[in-house]
Amino acid sequence: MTNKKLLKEISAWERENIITPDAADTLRERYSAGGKNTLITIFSILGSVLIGTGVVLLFATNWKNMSLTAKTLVSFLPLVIGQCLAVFTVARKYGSTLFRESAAILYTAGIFATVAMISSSFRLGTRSEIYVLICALMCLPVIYLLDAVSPLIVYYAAVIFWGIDTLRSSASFSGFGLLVIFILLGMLFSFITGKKSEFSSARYTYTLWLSVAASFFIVVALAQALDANLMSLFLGYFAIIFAIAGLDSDYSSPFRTVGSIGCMVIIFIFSINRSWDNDDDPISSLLCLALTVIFAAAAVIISVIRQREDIFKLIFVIGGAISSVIVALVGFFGVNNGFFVSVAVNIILIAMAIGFIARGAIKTEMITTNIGLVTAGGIIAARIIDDNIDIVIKSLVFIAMGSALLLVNRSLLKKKRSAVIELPEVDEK
Amino acid sequence: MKKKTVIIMLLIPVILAQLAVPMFLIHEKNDVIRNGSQYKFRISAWVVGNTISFDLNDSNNTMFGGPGKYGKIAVADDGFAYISEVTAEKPAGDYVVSENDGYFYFPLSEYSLNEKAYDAVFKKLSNYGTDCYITVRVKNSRIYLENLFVDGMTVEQYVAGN
Repeated sequence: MTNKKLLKEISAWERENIITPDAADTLRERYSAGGKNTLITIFSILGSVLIGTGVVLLFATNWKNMSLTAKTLVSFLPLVIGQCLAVFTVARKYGSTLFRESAAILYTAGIFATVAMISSSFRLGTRSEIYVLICALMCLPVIYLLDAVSPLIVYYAAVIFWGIDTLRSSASFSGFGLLVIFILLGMLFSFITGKKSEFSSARYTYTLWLSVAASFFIVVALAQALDANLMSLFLGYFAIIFAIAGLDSDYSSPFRTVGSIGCMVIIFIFSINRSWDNDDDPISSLLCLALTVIFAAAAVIISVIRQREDIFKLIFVIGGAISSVIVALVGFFGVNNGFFVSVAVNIILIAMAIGFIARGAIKTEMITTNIGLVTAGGIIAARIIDDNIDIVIKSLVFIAMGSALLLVNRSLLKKKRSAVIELPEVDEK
Repeated sequence: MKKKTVIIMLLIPVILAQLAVPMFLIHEKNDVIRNGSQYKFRISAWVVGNTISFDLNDSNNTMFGGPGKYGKIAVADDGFAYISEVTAEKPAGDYVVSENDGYFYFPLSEYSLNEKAYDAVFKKLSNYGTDCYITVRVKNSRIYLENLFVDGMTVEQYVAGN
């Protein structure tokens, strides 16, 4: 059966209630030309954004000449249009991801436009962070009811903006708690989206990346609430994220990518001698130290449960967790000479980089090898930029690093190709 | 019950709540404007783009450090209001709440301006010693800006006369 015929059949099954609209959607996604479908969705969303912007600008040009009543009526228009579109989509086009996503984006833009215009017309003087929070909370049911993933980025951005801004001006645990609840509400949607597609669709991957990014801001907000430098906590957080990835070796999933790169970047920052000389923002609170230990312990426990069959990953998480605790302890008790600590951190980082290169070479994982190579290159580059080394030597070192990067990638590519050629042919019968 | 019907039934209260939010914001403001106490604050103002930015005049001395975000409002003999003290606990009488806990900032700092008014107001506010004040309404810590006065006239009247 050709895909075209199958797609027709799926629509017929949906009409006859043989399968649910969700199942039909999943089947359509699976059997239509994937790339083309994603592109159409992206362009539809872009089109909706442009239409929304155009309508708002059209009214904005004549705004000053309008009476307050006219302004009020016009202000409600974007919201009402979004609502009508949502009702139409649910009633007639709920099976179409394209329609749901486009309608949800227009609806979201309508919410932001209406609240902004009302705020401006009536000189409500609403503070920007309160404005975005009101709009975000109005958008949340739209995301759930229209089952649309595209406005999730707007929702997360808005609640994070509110949370960080509120906690910066007035650090409080109630504010932090609310931010966590708001972010969890977004994550719940991501989980539901994943469950519908057995955690394998592109929509789920998109929401997962956003949710992992949002979870990082929970740690940032925690730093704001505690009013402290929490780089060690960030390290623990990235170790947890890496541990959650389990045995999954897919870099399109955010856990492994964000976790490994995050750990390396934080350790890299601590490998710089200057980062230990900054006395303005010490990790001084016992609470910060305790939290770092909890994060580190959580990372190790999760890793033992999920990654015990992969010794490399287990060692990586344990290394990251121990480093975070060492960094927190050094920060807590103070450091007389940052040089020795940074030398120790450099050794840990070099060991990790070598581990990544070796792992990538053994498993033929080009990304893993490249993370290791870039880290090793970064350490060398940072050290030779720091020191007064002759420019010719610096140039030669850079040329050598670049050549090594290219050569290793070339040999990995060769290895990968030969592995593909050696695969036995599958008997189609 | 079909899934679509359930979603539409859920969508209806959401739609009503979303329409109610802007209406509630308007109602809040109207309530404070109608029933709140009116105060006049002297300000130092300057034009930035299409808005007038302002700080309470130095004589009001509102940049309080230390704990607390509640600014108690008092009225001087000349009829102008000022922030008499900043406290960590809600004070009796009218007060305003600072965005920042630990360093008190007056919650209002901008007045949006018609584009055409820019030149006239900019020149006037650039002159040192221009008499400027705002009128606000306060009710239960909620505060709304009513008018901005330049030389005894609202800024709109001032622009119309220039």
